[in-house]
Amino acid sequence: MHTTFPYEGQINYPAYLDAYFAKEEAFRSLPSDAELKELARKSIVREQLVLVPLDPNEAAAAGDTAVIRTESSLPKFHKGRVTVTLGRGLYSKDLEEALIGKKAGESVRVQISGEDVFSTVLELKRRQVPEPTDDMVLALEQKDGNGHLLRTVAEYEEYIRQTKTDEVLANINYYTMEQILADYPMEHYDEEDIRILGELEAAKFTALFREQEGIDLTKEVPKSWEEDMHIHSLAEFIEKRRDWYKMKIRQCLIYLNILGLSCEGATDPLDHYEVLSELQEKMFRRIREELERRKLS
Amino acid sequence: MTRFVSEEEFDQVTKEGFWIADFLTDHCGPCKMLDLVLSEIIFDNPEINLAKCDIEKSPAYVDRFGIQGTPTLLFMMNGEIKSSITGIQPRDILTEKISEAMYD
Repeated sequence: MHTTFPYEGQINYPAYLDAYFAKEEAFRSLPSDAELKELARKSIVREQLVLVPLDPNEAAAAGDTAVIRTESSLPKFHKGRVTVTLGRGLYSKDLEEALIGKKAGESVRVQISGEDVFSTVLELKRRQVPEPTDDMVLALEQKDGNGHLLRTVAEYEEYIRQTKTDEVLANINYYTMEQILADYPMEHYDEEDIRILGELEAAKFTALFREQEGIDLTKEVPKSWEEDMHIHSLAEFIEKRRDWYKMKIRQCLIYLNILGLSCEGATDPLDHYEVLSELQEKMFRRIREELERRKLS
Repeated sequence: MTRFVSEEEFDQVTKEGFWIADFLTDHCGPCKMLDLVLSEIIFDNPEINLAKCDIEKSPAYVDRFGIQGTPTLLFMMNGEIKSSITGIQPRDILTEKISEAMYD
């Protein structure tokens, strides 16, 4: 690649990670095995939940579904029939807490925003949660990131692990890259580099559309390109992507700098189309190591 | 209840109760992440229903609801659209939107 990075060796990546981890909402670790298993279980069985009416003598517990009547001067709490899951706080945390322990027919009175709210339990139901099975996974018709249909509980758990792990790593990578891009502006990009990236993308898209859509991009473009983007040829599309090619060059150079790699052969974005994705994978591994290191220390 | 819903059956399916209509595609990464957040919310609140609407299998959704990108969520009570949101969202933002759409 002919474009040069004017800040060679200047990016202090650990400092950007420190800034990210100082944020209140930062992900500070990857989900544990137990958390991932529980998330997979909830996701698989969500369509199989059955609400069973409670015995009239049985009192409501947190998580039970209650049908209630509410009376108040507040419109939100003056309804003939409202369905609410107790203890989740979607309706009113105070009212829901007060209803826990009550039986069908019993009433409570609470104050919300300084106003009286009177509520009577009409019906109570309890959720029955089955154990996840392969048949339930099949019924979800869920595909993984590669488009493969998930068929077993084990495959689904692995899919959850991958998705949640990527979510954490992508979040950290996005934040740190956003800061770095702002701190290290670049003005000069080699025209030959931009042209080659355009050629690579043209070849990639041509093959992709021929295989998946049956469209020969060298002769025609999809209707949606014409209607939504007013693009009438592949050459026009490539020309409009110039800013993205610049961004791709810049991101690759930043990743290479942080990872201590030189831009040649397998790591040269002009060599093949997927280099940016591969460098991002390497960044994810770097971030993962950093999460492990920080957890250990 | 969670189910895939085509554009033709959309009105019939969502006409009663609280529904989240999730407009997605098979190969949309953020859609898959959002689906996991939604699955936890639905597990915890079984009165919430989820209609998964694949805009590639049912392209008519795009014009009908003006879908600008995926994932897009519509929050609906008894068939009436209360609000919408586009892009992956944290759980607390979603529960706030759901609470408003269900009860306000």
